[in-house]
Amino acid sequence: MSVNYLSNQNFSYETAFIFNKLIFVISPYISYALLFFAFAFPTKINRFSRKYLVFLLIPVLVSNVLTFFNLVIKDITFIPGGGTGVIFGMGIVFFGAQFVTYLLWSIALLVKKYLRSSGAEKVRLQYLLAGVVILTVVGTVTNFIVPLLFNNFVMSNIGPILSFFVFAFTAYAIVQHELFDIKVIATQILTVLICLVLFAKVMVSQSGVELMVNALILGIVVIFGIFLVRSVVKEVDQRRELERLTKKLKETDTMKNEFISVAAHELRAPLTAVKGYTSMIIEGDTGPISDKAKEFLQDTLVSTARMIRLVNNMLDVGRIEEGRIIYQEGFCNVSEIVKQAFGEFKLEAEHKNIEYKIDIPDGVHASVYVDKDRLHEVVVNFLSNALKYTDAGSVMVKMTNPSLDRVKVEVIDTGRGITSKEQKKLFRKFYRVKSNIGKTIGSGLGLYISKLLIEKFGGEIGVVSQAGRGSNFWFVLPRRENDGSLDERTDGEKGN
Amino acid sequence: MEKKETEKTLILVVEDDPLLVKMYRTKFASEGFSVLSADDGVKGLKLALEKEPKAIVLDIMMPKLSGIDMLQRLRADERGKNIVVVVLSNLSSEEESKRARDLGVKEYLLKANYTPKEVVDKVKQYLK
Repeated sequence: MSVNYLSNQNFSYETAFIFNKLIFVISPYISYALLFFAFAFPTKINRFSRKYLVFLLIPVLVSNVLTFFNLVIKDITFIPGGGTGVIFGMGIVFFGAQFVTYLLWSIALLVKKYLRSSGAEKVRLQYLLAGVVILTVVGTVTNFIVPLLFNNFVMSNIGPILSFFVFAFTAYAIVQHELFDIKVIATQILTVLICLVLFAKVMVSQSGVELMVNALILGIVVIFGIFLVRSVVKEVDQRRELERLTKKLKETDTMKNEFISVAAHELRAPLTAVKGYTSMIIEGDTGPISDKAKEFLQDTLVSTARMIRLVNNMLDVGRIEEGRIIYQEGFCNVSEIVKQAFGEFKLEAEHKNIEYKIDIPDGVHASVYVDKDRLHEVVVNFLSNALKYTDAGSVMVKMTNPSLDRVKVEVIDTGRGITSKEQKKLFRKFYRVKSNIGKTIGSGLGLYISKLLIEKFGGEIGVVSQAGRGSNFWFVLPRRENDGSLDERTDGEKGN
Repeated sequence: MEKKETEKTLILVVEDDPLLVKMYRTKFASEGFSVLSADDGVKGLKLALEKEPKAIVLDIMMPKLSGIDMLQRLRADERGKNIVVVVLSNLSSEEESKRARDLGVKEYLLKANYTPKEVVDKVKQYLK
């Protein structure tokens, strides 16, 4: 644009001729730059295209040579009232062919990419294409058709201003639709501006020494500028890569959750049948069975229940962690939940031949505000662990009020106990206590889920234990009465 | 004395797993209910509207018409507005559970957590 402006000033014939020639020297590079861009956008250019683009520089250089030997423009004329016109030579055919070919090629490439793109990228290409097409159409009319057919150069002088179309559409796409990273563009513009100022300073240097100093400063700034732009580009690339990986990770996570959900559902179906039919045989739906058969079937039920708990835990852990579970919270009596869970393990305790006791004193305050099914899960996890790790002695469930506003549930066993070192890790995800028989058992999820749930209900959870001396797993929940008072008492239960 | 077939409370079991249909049918029958069953939502809805059972034990993941969709259509019909529905599913989705509760389901039970006897007891509790 500036060369175009200069070419129209009232310079001497020689100067005006040089500036006019300069327009024709620069123009092929504009078309080449557009083609380069069309190849490179929106992904990075590949090695094949790079070699190809070096090859495509040849016609541009040929065009320059033709201009240099006055074959593109033969002469210039001064238009009355200001401005200059040109007299074309035969070389204009090659010049025009190269320029138009590259321009159309660029548009074809961008259209192809536009058709193949989708989403935000399509929108970006849309704006870019709009700018390029308008520039091409109007530019061809003002710079070629009118001057060649009507020998009128007035319009050609306003031609370069049309590049504002591309500028405007591109700027809009950058700002509104993230065409390029604005950080990179800003760094590049700033670097170029500083270099231009320093270049001007070099040009107006008064002495040789000043020229050398200014040139040195310019050189240093150019080098640092390149490093700066590169580092910003690298940072932007890394950020994009991170965004891509995050997206991929989220997709994988969704797939994992779907898989677990389907797997758990498919595992539950046969377990439902095994549990259901076994319970029906025990209940006498198929007629009387021997005590021995009943005992074996009860053992089957215990194992099935364990398997169901495992599947439930595997399915629940992710949902609890991610807060995807909707809790059916309400006022409920902890003692009812404890009694029910206690009842579910009576048979297992009997089979292991250990003492199994419950101690809920009369008048204990037991109303809490929780999801009763989830709290039931916690008590079941405690009891299941206690029975699993206790081979002799007793397992006892106890309820107390450590203070007026709290309810405590303890499951005390005489099992193998846990070292203080292991106690610290016990409530972590997938942590399993190493058993003294040389193998670890359990999924390592039960206590972790229990901790998440109790904390969700505003309580605390913990363990008191000593290796070889049994364990006391406990949780405390805040008391919450339906009417806001803290007077409600519950019926106690003591027994085996 | 055993009740006559016409005096028995009619229960509809909508479930696509034949093993589980047999199981629930047997248990409900032995507990003194008259039982109908359907293996998909379309058949389930047709039976529910024609026979108007006292209670429906409904699965969620089923071919043709899911339990939730069937429930929605059931509630849209005058004949199905007040039937007691207990959902019995192995899919513990919060979203489905909420939709079911919004459609007036008494309970949304995780199938594997309940024995047939416990399911019968739940239904009895709501028929009182």
